[in-house]
Amino acid sequence: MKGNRLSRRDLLYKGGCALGSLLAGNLLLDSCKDGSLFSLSGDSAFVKPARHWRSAGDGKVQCLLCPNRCLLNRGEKGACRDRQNRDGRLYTLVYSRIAALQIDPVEKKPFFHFLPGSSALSAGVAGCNFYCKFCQNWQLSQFSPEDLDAEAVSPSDLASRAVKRGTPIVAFTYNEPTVQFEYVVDAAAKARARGLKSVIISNGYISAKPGREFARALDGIKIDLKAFRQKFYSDICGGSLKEVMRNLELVRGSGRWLEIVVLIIPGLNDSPSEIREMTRWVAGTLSPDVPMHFTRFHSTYLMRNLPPTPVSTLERCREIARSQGVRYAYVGNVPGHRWENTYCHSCGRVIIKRGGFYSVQNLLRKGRCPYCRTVIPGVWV
Amino acid sequence: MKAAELITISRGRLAAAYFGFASAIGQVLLIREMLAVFRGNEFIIGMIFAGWFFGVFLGARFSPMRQEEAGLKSLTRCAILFPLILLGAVYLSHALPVLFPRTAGGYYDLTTEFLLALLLTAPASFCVGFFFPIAVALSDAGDSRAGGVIYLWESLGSFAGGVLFSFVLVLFFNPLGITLMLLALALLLRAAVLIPSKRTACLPPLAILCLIPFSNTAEQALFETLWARSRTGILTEYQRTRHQMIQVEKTGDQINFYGDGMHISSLPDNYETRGLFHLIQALKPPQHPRILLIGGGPGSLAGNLLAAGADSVSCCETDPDLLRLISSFAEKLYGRGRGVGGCRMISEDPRHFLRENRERFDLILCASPLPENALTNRSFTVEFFRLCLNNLAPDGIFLLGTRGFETAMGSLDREYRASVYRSFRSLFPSPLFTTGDPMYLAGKADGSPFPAPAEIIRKYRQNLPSQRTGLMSPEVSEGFRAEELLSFFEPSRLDYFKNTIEPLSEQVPVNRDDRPNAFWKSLLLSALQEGSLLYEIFRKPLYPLIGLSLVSLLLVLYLHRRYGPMEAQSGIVIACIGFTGISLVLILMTLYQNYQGMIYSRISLISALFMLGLAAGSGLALRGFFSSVFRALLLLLCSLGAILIYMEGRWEWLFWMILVVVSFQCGAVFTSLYAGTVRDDPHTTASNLDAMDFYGSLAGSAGTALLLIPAFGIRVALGVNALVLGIALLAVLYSRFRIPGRNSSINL
Repeated sequence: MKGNRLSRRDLLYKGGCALGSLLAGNLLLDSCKDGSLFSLSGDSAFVKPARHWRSAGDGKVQCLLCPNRCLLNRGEKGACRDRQNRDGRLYTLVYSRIAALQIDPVEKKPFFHFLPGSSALSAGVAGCNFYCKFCQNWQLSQFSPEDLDAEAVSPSDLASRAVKRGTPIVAFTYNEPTVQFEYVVDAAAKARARGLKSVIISNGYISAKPGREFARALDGIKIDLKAFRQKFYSDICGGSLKEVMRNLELVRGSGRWLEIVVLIIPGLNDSPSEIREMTRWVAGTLSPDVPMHFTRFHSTYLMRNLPPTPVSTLERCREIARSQGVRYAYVGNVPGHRWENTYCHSCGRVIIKRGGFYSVQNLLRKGRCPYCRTVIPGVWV
Repeated sequence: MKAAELITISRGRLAAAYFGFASAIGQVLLIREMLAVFRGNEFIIGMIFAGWFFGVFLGARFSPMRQEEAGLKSLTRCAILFPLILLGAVYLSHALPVLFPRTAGGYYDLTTEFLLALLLTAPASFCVGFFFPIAVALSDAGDSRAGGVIYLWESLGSFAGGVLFSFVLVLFFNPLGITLMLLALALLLRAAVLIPSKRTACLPPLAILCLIPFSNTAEQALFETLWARSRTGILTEYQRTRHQMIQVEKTGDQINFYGDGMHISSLPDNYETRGLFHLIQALKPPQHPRILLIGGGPGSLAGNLLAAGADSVSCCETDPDLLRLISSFAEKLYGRGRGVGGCRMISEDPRHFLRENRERFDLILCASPLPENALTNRSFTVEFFRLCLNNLAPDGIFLLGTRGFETAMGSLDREYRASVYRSFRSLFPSPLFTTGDPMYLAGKADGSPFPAPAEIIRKYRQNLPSQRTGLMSPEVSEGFRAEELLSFFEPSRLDYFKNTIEPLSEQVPVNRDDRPNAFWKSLLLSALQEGSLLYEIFRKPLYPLIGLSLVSLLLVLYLHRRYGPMEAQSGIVIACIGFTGISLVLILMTLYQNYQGMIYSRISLISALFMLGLAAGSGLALRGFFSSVFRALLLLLCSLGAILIYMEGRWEWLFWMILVVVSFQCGAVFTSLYAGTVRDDPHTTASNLDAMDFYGSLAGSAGTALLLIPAFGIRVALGVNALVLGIALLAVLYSRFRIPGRNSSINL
């Protein structure tokens, strides 16, 4: 009988195997439940052939949409999580896969010289080609499309919804619109056909060719100039300042309306010398008429333990910008601040009064200062 | 017994008392200081405890067998090393942001914090574990009592250390001064007791004591340098209060206040006040309301509310030093004339105040930090909302501020909000919610609904002129138009909230004191944000518990194979006791915090009383009283029942009683088990028992603070403790019947 009894070693070994199998099985089942193991990456309804890529041999593809230029093996996704190599071809996974759709005042984007007081039907998807540690919309931008609930909103449907809700603007925002390039171009065309204007709120990190296509398709472009130091871009955002500057020049050269936002984070990008260099470049290389918004930082995402930017720092940035020739420099995210108003660059009087995003009194007459008749740069009708 | 033997024995005991004394101080010191570097919450306390116990476990496990002289030398080295390592750990923790740079304003991710906590605490606690078996071996007089005696002396030393720290050291000395004192004490112990030498050997400790007066200056210079290199502003002031370390930073003309390194508020705050001030004015019921502000301290809002005609504004904040500091800056900025000086300051735990208060308020605004830990979660539970409701006038309004939501929320964020929303709605059935950041939940005491947002704005537009008085800050009043209130009522975001959170709130659990669902979801959200490995572990909390059980099983099998069944049985029992001891303390601390108020100022007292209980238990067990392990386990099971009673009755005396009873039983069990297990090798038995005791403590602290309480709640944590005690009981029963030759003098 003794031969049939389990030795202690056998008991341990077999017990361990059984327990391990149970655990592995459980993990496997969980993975299946999560959809991470067997499911296709992305619902096929939202998957469309992507543009701006090239074959790199051996089934690899290189995405050429943004300066990240991701080289992708079969099945791999780009850094943005939205473009995937499927059988040697690049696909976008977020065509019409809208994860956030809301109506916002255009001042919230912020656009201060683009149909002030209007509202914009604003759409966003999952994913981004940056990983800014201060991203306000990280629950969109730092997730994969399949992680988020989304609804299918075709380009024509988006335009129809905007018309139905009476918003003259369609805005591609919340995450980086570049990652849904194909959709934005198509939707902007449909919107234009319905008499609507299209804008994007972008980090300006896009390759030259698609950048030019964007500029042709859109009416207004707001670019976040995160800082004027490459170190900030590398450490905090994962991008290149040079590429953003190139793209700013491209947009300005295209004749589309451009506004620049600089989120001032205390201690990281608020030094007077950096702001001076930045604003000198904007006024000199782009144009003194490009509005600049110096906005207040509030702790969020991975920078949850920083105080808000002192209002005096924002005021100083605005002063520097003015001294460097920027005609329209604003203080942002400070409701009620006098430098949220627009002042005529010629006579210095208030021409648009603002109190937060919702209280906008536009005194302009046909795009001119009501007092001195100076033409104010912007898109007014 | 020879005189020389007696001397050796007393040396071992004195060394035990020193280590108890020094480790009690060291442990609390490390917790307090590391909280100021990591995000200060119970989760981190659990990590620090785990790191500490891990060190003790390793020290006890790998403490080598020593002959008498070598043993004394080891003890001496260990005694001197301990304060030095402690000193290094304390200030290394402050230097971490410089040594391992992190993004300004960011935290290390939870996994890194866990590893750093381990790295910083384990070396110091290694010494504490290392000394124990050696001291037992030195004190062994062949009567199976040595382990218990050393345990007793160590516990007495810990009690003395805890009391001294609570009532003297923390008030007058900084960590540098305290560690220098410990070092001097260790050198004195060496010169006078462990390795007696010439009188001149007393000079170094005296020289070290002479350095203490300079410790404040040295520390300040160090902190200013470290702050400048790791933060974005300039450290202008810092102080350790009974509750936390407060730091004051200057960026430009802005003053920022930090508690344990976490940003609390900034001054001036006029622009932040603008929207909220007008929202309150638009919602407030009577003309001259009595207002209670909870959290954040007095700033522009309080002064402007008084200027706008509020009958009284009271600010409630737990830490009186913080309140005093913020008030003094606010008064300088806004002046007494504008009303900050007219605020009533209440330095009390808000929940305690609300429970005892008889005054009724027309408006209570709670702007507490987010429920990222069990402490802050107290301001988001159904019990807190009930307290607020009880303190409102019949037509009063409660306004709760929380993190604003953006355009899309992930599932964790939705669940956290839904849990808070459900709790809120269970007491304020027709709540109003706003958009923006922060967002507010508003409820009326009489349960009636608020008018529609458009109506609120329309009415406010009519009343607006009367709101403008010359005493208000221009940033708050100038150019204000009622349309600005639309930022609180953005239609598409209100719809989004209504469509996502309201339906979900029917499915998620209510956020309760004893089942902190919002805290758990918030914790997971933080881990997800940071891409922490712990997120993957915590997402399925059963797996780490299973893993822990497997490791425990392997340890027991190892003991069984290497040292025989008796050591294994004792190992199981003492590990279970170690688990339950620390787990129950953590549960009790959480409950105390919920019912009686903030716990931080009481930690060292609790620790001291726990040690007193251990000492009393082991002392009496040595004399043959309360030496039945079986009975002790049954009493511990009864303590679980007593905790359930405490959860119902919330009597403070019961808390202290349970604490002492639990620690008493734990102390008695160690002594009895040692006596019942030891045969001819006291060092090995002491090493095994101490190691298993602290392994249990490690599992108990990590499991309870990191998983059981946040993920499953207090009742499940008590259930797990009952299960663990059940295992210990089975082991005792098994050993009664199966293990031959057990020492008959001990009643198992």
